[in-house]
Amino acid sequence: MSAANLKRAEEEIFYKKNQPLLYLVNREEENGREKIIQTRSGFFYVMVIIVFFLSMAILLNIGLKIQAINYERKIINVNELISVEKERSDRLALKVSELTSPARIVTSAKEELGMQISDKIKVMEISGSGLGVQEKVLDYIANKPASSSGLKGYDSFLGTINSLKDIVMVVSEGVLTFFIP
Amino acid sequence: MVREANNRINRKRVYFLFILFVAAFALITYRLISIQYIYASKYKSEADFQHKEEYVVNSKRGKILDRNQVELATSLIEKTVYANPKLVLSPDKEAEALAEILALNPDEIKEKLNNKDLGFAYIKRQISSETADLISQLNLPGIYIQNENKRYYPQGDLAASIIGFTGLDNNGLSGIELQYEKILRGVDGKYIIEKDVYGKMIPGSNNNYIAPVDGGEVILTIDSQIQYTMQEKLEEVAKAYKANTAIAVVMNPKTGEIYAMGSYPGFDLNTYQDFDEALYKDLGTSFTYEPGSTFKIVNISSSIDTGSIKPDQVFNLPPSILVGDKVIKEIHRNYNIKYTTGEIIKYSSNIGAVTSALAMGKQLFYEYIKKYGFGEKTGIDIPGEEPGLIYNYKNWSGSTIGALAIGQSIAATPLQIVRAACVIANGGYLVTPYIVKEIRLTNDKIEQPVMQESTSIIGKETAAAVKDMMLSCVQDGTGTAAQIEGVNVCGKTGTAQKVNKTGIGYTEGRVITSFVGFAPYEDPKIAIIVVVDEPQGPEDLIWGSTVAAPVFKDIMNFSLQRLRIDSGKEVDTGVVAK
Repeated sequence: MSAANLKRAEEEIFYKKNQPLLYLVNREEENGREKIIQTRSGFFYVMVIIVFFLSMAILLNIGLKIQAINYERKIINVNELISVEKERSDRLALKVSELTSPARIVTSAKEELGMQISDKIKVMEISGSGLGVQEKVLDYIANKPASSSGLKGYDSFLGTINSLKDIVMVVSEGVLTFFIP
Repeated sequence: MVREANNRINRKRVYFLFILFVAAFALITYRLISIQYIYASKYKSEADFQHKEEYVVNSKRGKILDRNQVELATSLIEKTVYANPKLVLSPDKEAEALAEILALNPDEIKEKLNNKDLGFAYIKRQISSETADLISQLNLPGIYIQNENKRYYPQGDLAASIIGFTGLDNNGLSGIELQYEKILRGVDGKYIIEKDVYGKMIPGSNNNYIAPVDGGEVILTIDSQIQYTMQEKLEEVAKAYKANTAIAVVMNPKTGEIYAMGSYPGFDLNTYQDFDEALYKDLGTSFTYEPGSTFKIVNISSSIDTGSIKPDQVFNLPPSILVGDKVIKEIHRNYNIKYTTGEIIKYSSNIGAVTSALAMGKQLFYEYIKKYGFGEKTGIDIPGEEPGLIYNYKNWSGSTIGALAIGQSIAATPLQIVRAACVIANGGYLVTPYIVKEIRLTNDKIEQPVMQESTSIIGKETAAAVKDMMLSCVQDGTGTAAQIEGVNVCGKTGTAQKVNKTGIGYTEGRVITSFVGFAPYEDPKIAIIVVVDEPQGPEDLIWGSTVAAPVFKDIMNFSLQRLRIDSGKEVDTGVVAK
């Protein structure tokens, strides 16, 4: 190998060392030399970074999707539980409606307990006090000891019934109904 | 030379390859465009058909409640097992597994699952959630669980003809269920899933869920306790007198709110298929009959309002009168008598009513009958209302005015008659009856039905005068059986002969007895009509005053108590505030 060729080879090695890893060359036919026609010095590193982040994004996306599926499944399970409880509550409400129907209560009261709806019922407005109707009744009841008035309180489908010795008052919706035996 | 020749060949090869690539590229481009653009919708639908499955998520039908939120109709979600036999892989094994859980005959299930022509077959409807869960856990290919609504009516036969019922597909078929179908039904949702080759859902794929919108709640003006008492009393009277039917309507004379409406015999909404279809009708709005003497309140109020007669006018009344070609008689009187206008109502005088109508004349009488809304639907918000029938006065025969004066030659519904009584009760206003108080939509929005304004059809003085007459009718006239202790009740009796089935003439012994009235006199809050069709018994005991008035009294008495309506008189109990 001549000194000139050696020098040329060294030059080429030096030249290539100073070039980036990616470059486009054109080989000259006559002397076989490669001529660099295009190079992007930072392209490779940019590509590496892009690929890295792209891979990370894809991995993250897959991870999030898996998490979303898990959450979705949990939501479906919770919704199913809610609908089952709602269904149970609806069934109970239906049962309550059936049990509180006037037909059942009146029939039971008449046939099983021998009760009758009284014909002697009067509805009256009470005057002469500054209190509201319900307050007046409660006030009246409060001033009469249970032992002396024979007061009994119980609920019925008509409202709250307060039974005294000779008079029965129904307190409901702010107006009094007196049952006078 | 050789090199040049080689270059030429190489160039040709390159050109050939280039053209080949261009052609292939063009072909691929064309194919891509045709798939992605030209035939895109076709391929998309084919792909969707293969990979997507659409499930209907049923909306829950809304409740029907009474004015105090008592449930009259409600829906429960029930589970239904169904199969797509085309997707069932091993029909025999799956049938055995299903039969064990559902306690069904395995052969019947096998038959369904082996029928590959079917895309859908019910296995069992309305099963419990627990059973449905057991089936879901088996993951049987082609076997699915679906939610279905089932309608329940917890009050049974209460207000059955008003509420109506739904069919198997959950569509309203009658009553409020039909009238408010759109609101009650809601909007069904969808669940669109992507599935794999085995028909199973691909998790995480583009599953699309459109949530169902549940139906709204319809709150009625009905009070279930008044309704119950009314139905009970109607049953009692119908059984006691072996009547065809007993009908009643309870309403607010000022607002038109219906508190109760029904008839006996009725039917149970939960087992409606077991009853005669004729019972499904709401007779309060569809039973047309000749109202008889209850119509005299329309006649007398019209005469007074037109100035044809005066409230305190005295009439010398013979026992019979010839109108056109027909003789109209008094029932209990064969001598002349002097009655005031008030006594015509009080004692229900036929001759007095005819005299009043004749004083008014055909045209005015007809115009007032129309003003009262006869011959037209009242506009109540339930389906199946009948308009009744009244002929134009131009087509009346010579005797028609006489017949109309006593409530014949006209077909009216009980609701129309009680509405006429409401005009007297509220000072002359024709109200539009309504049965839906409010509608609650799922978004918590509350809608009030559009109310039609009441129109004044007679003067206040006229209404007050007729109200006094109706009061005296109950106090010491024909309607004394409707008296309630401590309450001033106004009313009018009616006993109308029934028209022959041929439509010509009347049959002795076939009558429709009725009573219409309102209370308390001082400030009417409740108006009621009771109609009893063909009560049986001795002729001299079958009257509106003996059959219908006591029922009216019982219903009115309970309604006044229930709605806490006082008698209008203040009582000092001596309770003093501290």
